Amino acid sequence: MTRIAGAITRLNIAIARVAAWLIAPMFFLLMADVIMRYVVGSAAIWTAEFAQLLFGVYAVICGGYLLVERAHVNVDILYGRFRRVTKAKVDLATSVLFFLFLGVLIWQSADMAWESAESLETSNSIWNPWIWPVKVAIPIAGVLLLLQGLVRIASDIRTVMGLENDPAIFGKQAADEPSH
Amino acid sequence: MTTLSVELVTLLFFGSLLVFLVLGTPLVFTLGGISVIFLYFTMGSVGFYIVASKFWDSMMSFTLIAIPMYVYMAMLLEKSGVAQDLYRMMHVWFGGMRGGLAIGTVAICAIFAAMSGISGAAVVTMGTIALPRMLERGYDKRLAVGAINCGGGWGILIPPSILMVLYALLTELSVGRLFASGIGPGILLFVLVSIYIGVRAWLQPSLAPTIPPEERGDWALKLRTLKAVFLPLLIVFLVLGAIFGGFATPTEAAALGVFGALIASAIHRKLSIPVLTDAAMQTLRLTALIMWILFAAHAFSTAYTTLGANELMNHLMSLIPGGKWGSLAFMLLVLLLLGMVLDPVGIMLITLPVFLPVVQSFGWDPIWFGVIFIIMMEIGYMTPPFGFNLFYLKAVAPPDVTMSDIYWSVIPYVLVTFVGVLIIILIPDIALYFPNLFFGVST
Repeated sequence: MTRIAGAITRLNIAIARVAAWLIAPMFFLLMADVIMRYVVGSAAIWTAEFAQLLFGVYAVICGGYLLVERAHVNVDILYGRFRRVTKAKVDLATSVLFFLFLGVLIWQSADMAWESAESLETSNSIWNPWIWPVKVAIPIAGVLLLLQGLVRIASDIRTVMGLENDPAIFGKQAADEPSH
Repeated sequence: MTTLSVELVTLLFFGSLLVFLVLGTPLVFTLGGISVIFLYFTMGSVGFYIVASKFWDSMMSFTLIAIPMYVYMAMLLEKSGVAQDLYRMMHVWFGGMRGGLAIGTVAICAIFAAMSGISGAAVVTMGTIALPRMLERGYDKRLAVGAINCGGGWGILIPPSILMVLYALLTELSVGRLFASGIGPGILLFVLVSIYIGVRAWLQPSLAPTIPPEERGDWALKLRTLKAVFLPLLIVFLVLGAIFGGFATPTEAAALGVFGALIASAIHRKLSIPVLTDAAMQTLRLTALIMWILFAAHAFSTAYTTLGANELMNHLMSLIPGGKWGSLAFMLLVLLLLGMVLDPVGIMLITLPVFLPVVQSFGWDPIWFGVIFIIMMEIGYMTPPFGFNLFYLKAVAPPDVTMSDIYWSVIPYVLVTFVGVLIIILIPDIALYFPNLFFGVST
């Protein structure tokens, strides 16, 4: 089980390291857009739209990585004072919302992505690129986040049982003190 | 759901939101999970389609691409050494004045805010560079720490600002107009804070001594250090000039800003693969975090509307005594309290669906309200227990600055900022002059 958990965590980190670099093509495309407009007189038909499609993937794909890093914003005012074991118990209890949200998200976005992929949906702009791969990215991102959520559940259960968790396998661990 | 009254459902909706948030459930899953439950009760599983389609809408918003661009720009500038040069200039120019180093520090914060769209960067940089220097010169800890805390928050008020990008998106206003509306209030707060520091230093010289004359440098040095301002001003001119002059959209201007930040880093010989990678990872984290909250918040506002909760909330808001000023005071109070426990993006997404109809029903300009909203968020950044600036400061401050020093330091600066809010409420033109100047009077 630890091998699967470690693999999921490493996968999410690896995806983030690659996705982080999407900032570079987005930057170049936007710059190209401005420069072309003032130098050539008109922007290319595809630069801004291509940047948009990259941004779509960039924005959605790293939900799982944020969970590895415990970076999703939460309110620390009471929770921060709990001890590690208490935090794990509370997390297990409140995780029901996580699974409801992710369940609905994956189900509905998979429907949407399937429909889009089946018809090889395009954007209907002048350039008219495929947009179905970006729609497919939503359920993929959802599954990545769901898997990382399952790793967190395993991690919390182990904490409650009094076991130590390796952050490289189970993601960043809660501290006994407030995180700030 | 017909068996339960709207009142009860609304109470359950906000009540469960509060319970889960206090239990430390991440905001995105709280918003998403609760919305899913309530959507199911009002619309059945048909309503779930909205969850996925709103993801897609946010992913395809051209305005939002500005967020990673402005964040990347700020991350690069933070590491570029631009701030060090600015500090050296300020030291020789302002050092001879009582409280001059602190006033100079907030001036740098204001310049930095005009180059960056987030709040953390200026606090970290000035906390690292300016704070130790001020303490060495015998500046009062609280005066110095508070100045950085306060000035560091201006990143979201003085354009560009990613919080304004989000506000514009949610209210369907123009990003450029909102950016322009931050200029006047930004200058106002800078002046008020400088007056506060100046008066304190004049009354109690021991709090903020002048630096010895031999350190002030001669005119030749003063003029030499002035070139430090050149690069930042160029970047500000490039980004804001492009937006206000109508040469580029705020998103494109953000890319120009990244370009400027890259040049600045290269000139300071700070441009390297590790710096670029590091900044890219931080940018991804912050952008993904904001986007996921936004995804879930769309579901939340849909659920809120379909419950019929908005009519109830509008009705409740109209019961607040004191008419429109009473409502405004109430909204500010809610923002202040939420600002103590939650981050600005979350607060904006939860409260705007409730507040915006109220603002419009009283005939207020939503841009003016946006500026006030953002200053309240800044106060949230400054105030315990959950002020980001406090933790950034604690992380970079010398060890003899305790958390309690940092907590106490904010009080006068928060009061000064409130005075600023009050002035803007009484004289809306402070916020609205520049948007009307650049983009014409809105109808």
